[in-house]
Amino acid sequence: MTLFWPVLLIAFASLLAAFVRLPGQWKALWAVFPGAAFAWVVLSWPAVVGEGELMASIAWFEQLGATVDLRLDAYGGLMAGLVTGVGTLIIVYAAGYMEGQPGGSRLISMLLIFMAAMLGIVIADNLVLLFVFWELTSITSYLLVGFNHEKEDARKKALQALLVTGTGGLALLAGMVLLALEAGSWQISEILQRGDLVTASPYLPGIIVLILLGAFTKSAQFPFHFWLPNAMAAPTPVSAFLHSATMVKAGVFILGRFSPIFNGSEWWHGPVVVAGLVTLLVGAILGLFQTDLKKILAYTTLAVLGMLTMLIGFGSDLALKSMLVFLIGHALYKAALFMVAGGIDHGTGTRDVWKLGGLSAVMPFTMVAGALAAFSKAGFPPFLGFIGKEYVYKTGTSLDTLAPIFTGAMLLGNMLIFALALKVGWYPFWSKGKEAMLEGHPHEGGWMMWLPPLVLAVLGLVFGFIPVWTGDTLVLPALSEITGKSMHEHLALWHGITLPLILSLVTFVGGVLFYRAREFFWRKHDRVESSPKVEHAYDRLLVGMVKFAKRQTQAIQGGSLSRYMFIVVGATALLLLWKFVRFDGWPELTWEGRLAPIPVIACIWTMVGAIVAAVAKRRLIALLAMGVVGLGITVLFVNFGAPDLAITQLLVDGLTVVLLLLVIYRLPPIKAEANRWIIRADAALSVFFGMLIAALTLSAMQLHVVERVGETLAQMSYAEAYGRNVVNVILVDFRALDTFGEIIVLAIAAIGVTALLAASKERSSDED
Amino acid sequence: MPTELLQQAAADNHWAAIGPELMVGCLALLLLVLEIVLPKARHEIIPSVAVVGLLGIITGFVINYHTAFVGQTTFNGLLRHSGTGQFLRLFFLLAATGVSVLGIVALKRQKMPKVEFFAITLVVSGAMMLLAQANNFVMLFVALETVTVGFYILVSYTRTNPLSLEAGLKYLIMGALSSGILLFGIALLYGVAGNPALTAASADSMNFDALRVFLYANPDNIIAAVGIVLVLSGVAFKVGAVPFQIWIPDVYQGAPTPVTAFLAIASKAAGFAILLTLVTVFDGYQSLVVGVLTVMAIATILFGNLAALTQHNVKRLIGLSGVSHAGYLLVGVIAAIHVPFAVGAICFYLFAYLLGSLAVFGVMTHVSGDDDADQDMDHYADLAKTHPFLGVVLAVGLGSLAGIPPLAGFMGKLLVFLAAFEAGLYALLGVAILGVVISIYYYFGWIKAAFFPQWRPPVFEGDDPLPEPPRQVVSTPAGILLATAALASVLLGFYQGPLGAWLGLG
Repeated sequence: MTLFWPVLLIAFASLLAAFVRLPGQWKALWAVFPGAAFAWVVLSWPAVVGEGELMASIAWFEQLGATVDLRLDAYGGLMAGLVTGVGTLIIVYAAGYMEGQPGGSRLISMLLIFMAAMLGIVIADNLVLLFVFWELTSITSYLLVGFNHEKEDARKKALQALLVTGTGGLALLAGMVLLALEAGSWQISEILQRGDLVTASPYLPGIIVLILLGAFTKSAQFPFHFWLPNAMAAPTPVSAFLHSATMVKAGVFILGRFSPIFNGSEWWHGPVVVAGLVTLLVGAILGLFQTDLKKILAYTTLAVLGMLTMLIGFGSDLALKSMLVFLIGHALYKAALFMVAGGIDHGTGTRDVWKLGGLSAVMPFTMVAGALAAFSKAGFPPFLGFIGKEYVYKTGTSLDTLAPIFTGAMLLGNMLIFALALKVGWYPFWSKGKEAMLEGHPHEGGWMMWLPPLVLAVLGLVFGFIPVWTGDTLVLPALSEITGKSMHEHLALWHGITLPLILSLVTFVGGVLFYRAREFFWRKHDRVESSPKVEHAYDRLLVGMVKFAKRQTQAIQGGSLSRYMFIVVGATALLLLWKFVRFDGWPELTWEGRLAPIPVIACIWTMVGAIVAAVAKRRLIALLAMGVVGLGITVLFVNFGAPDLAITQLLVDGLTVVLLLLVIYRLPPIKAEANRWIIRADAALSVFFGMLIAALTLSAMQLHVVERVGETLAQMSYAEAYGRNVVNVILVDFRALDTFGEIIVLAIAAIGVTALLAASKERSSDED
Repeated sequence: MPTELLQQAAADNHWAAIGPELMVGCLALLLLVLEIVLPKARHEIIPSVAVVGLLGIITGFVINYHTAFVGQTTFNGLLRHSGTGQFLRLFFLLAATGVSVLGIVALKRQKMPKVEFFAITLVVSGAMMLLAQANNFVMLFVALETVTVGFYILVSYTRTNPLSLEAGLKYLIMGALSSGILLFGIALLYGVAGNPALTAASADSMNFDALRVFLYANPDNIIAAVGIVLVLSGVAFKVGAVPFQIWIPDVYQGAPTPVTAFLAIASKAAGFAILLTLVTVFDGYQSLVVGVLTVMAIATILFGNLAALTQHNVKRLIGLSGVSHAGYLLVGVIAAIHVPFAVGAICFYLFAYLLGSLAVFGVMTHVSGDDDADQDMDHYADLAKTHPFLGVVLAVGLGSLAGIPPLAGFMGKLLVFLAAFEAGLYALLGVAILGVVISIYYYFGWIKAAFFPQWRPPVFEGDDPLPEPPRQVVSTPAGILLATAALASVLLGFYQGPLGAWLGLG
């Protein structure tokens, strides 16, 4: 059960931080909670590696297959360590960053709840639970990106991120439900055991596509990549946490999590590799044109996420190993660089590369952190970034098919990443001649702003120095988890003079060239920004949807009652028509050759009344015409031998006319309907509907009732009720209850009329 | 007529079986009597009597919910008592309690008679409780008309407000039309099923059991098919399924907020209670029913969500989003034909919807001004800052309606979707998920309005400093209601306990 407490602890801290307002720098104390969780992850690491996993479970919702199953394995544990470790530093940094600004507690509280959700994702062992945490990260990131909500832009971008990741999340849910139904279990560890059941399923393509949609939106893979640079509207601690180390890795994380099942399926490798490749190139190339430090970092994040996705797509043991090394390295240096960018922003008030320069003197600590992180990112030995890059090239060159193309893409991507790393971690500190352009006094922030990035950057160096330890302790256990077999090959810094090493050298040369040509690209920034992008398609989709929604609502829900009636009657008519067509229920028209005069007259009488009522220009005439219709029907009832119905009809009809007369008396005259087309449409629909009902009635008539109820009743009349007048007997004996009901209806109607009459009398005497 | 027959019929009348309904009716009468008996100055206790009485009935019901009548038919086949029926009865009692509390808050501002509102609410909920157990078209129609006529009055309750009157008139006309369609359908079914020329015809062809047998025996009867379609159309009116949703936005906007809540929660649930019963009755025409409902569900989900997207008046928004909820529930109803647990899923969904809606409508009641129809999204600016309690309740309620995990609404959606998955309704699910995505947009727009204040030009002297109406102070009963609804929305996401077990989900 100890598995629960790290999540609960952080969630509890979040709640506490929302209510307990610590002053200024003391807010850094909140880092104690994630720190404790981190310590717990570290301490349980030997047990995790030794036993393979730690598990805990409590019941939740059985019908859904949802139990709160948590499982800490080496792969999840690695991510858990990153989440809590980087998270601890981020909280300290956030406390420094927000010092003197309103809302610091709120930011920390939201960061903590996000952290709890993120931790939940990596240790959830149940699909429903995983989805719950997944959506929680989407929602909390919505709140975090929209933190500076006074800005219209921030709110818009926050919603954009939410819509993109939320949509993907639902696709993921659909994919996971299918997965669970096919595998017959909701527990992830169970499903991983039953991979063959899933791969044999006919739904496999659907499952893969849906899960990929979820992962790609979350990890900002092409073509869903646009939300990530836009999400830079968030405060820097948020970007450093969400958009480098954690949330965007969630997509990559579940790709790795499910890769043992899907590895080998043709539906898996193709899409994953292509999406990763395109994202890598798009991110790295567009990054060149960026002039905002955070935007540069966002695009390199895209590039790296693309690289990781591509590696997972290759699926070989070596590729997955490279992925893990690259992932750890990236989490360390990217979070550090974001914090450095935030520190520069904080100290100088700008993130614009055109204005920044010569900060090495005024911000020495930040400079060191930036340089170390940038070197790791650029891939200098002996940083962890170097090892990662070596392994990437190793993977690329050992591919069976298309090796030159992929290696070339990796090479280009790494060169660009190299250049971009220097732009963020080197350029603002060492470029000359810009000091005068900065307004105010650039200054170093407090220790809380430079220590966290420094710690991360140094770790990148340390891990690189001891590759065997890093590999054996961190990478190999996690790798064994996602490949499903135990892995022993050590990590090494030096592989001898091999093709990957040569490629690394080429990367340095190319990277330096790109770096030197930086201003060439920066000048084109505005033109690139305004060129057509996927985001515009998103915007157009959104605007189009809203526009369409407005049109349809105005057309249908305009508020005009006659339009409403038209729609309802029209829909009913269509439904009826459909039934007639489907059941072929058209009545057969036969002619018996004779017409009884009374029904014919009554029918014509009724029709005339109805037409007059429809075209009448004055209410009184329309009302009287309706009365005429009622009379016609009464005659029909009498003619077909239903005197009781006729009486009721006559009385109710008469009463209704009187009632309506009383109401009409007070109403203004009818305004003529202006639009002739509306009148025509109404008339056409009425005729159509009337004909359908007539057809229906005719069909009903063709079901002949064999038994004549009337004759039975006539025979029973004297024998049972001792009455010779059959109609009377029916009314007061056989169907006494019906008659009783009819009397009540009449009585109520009469009371209504009396009340109305009394009311109108009262009112007229008031008016006098 | 031989008296034994009457005796036999009367022997079937187990009045205890409809004890709760009788008590609700008596409570309604008691309120009216109190109004006559009590001096005018003491009249304000009458609403409290209604609420306390309802709470008493609920307590009694919960203690005795497992009555001996479950599984039986009583009153000569008019009523059938089922587990689902029991749940819905409790549902309607809870809804009536919530609406009454909201009524106390809302009516304070209006110069309208106070007592009738509560009495009518009680009568309507009693009728809904009977509706949920109807086993005969006569019973169903009479109960339904009792509900509808009650709503005619409630919708136009604030009769000094033209919008309320307009809403009442529209509801009356559209409601009469729908009742007409329903009645015509019932008449056709009655006629054709009572026709001795056809096999399995019954003398008691209004009875659902007899009708069901008849429909099975005559699978290709055009009159029966038309009757079924017309009945479904009539019911679609009550649940607000496209294209019979047409009355919803105008009526929801014009009606007093508590009545809107009542319409949204209880009237819709009543419609689904009927639908769930009828789907089993019309089993012989399954392909027809599924066809009609599928088309309706798709249109309802898409139309409801897209239409809600454009609304600035929150009452219209909640009305149209309610249309989309009806769409998801229709998906559940279709699934219920094949997957038994879908019925429980629908009940759970309705319950989550009840909680979320009560929370949201409760906040709306407190934020709205004297003009009940004018409730703009802009009025919610700064709500979280000035009234954090209302802000949080609103966020939880809307989050639950949007289906944000792990709130109760999410569980409801997941259950219904899961049932649909098991029934293999993949196309419908795709549409439903699309609908959920769109709904996030507008639900969060509302939350955004309450939590993320927009920049406003500075107010100059002499200008009206508050563009929004003054907000009400939250009274104790209303506070308890809101807190309960919000808390339960959160808790039900984690722990379903006896409720889940009751609905066969645990």
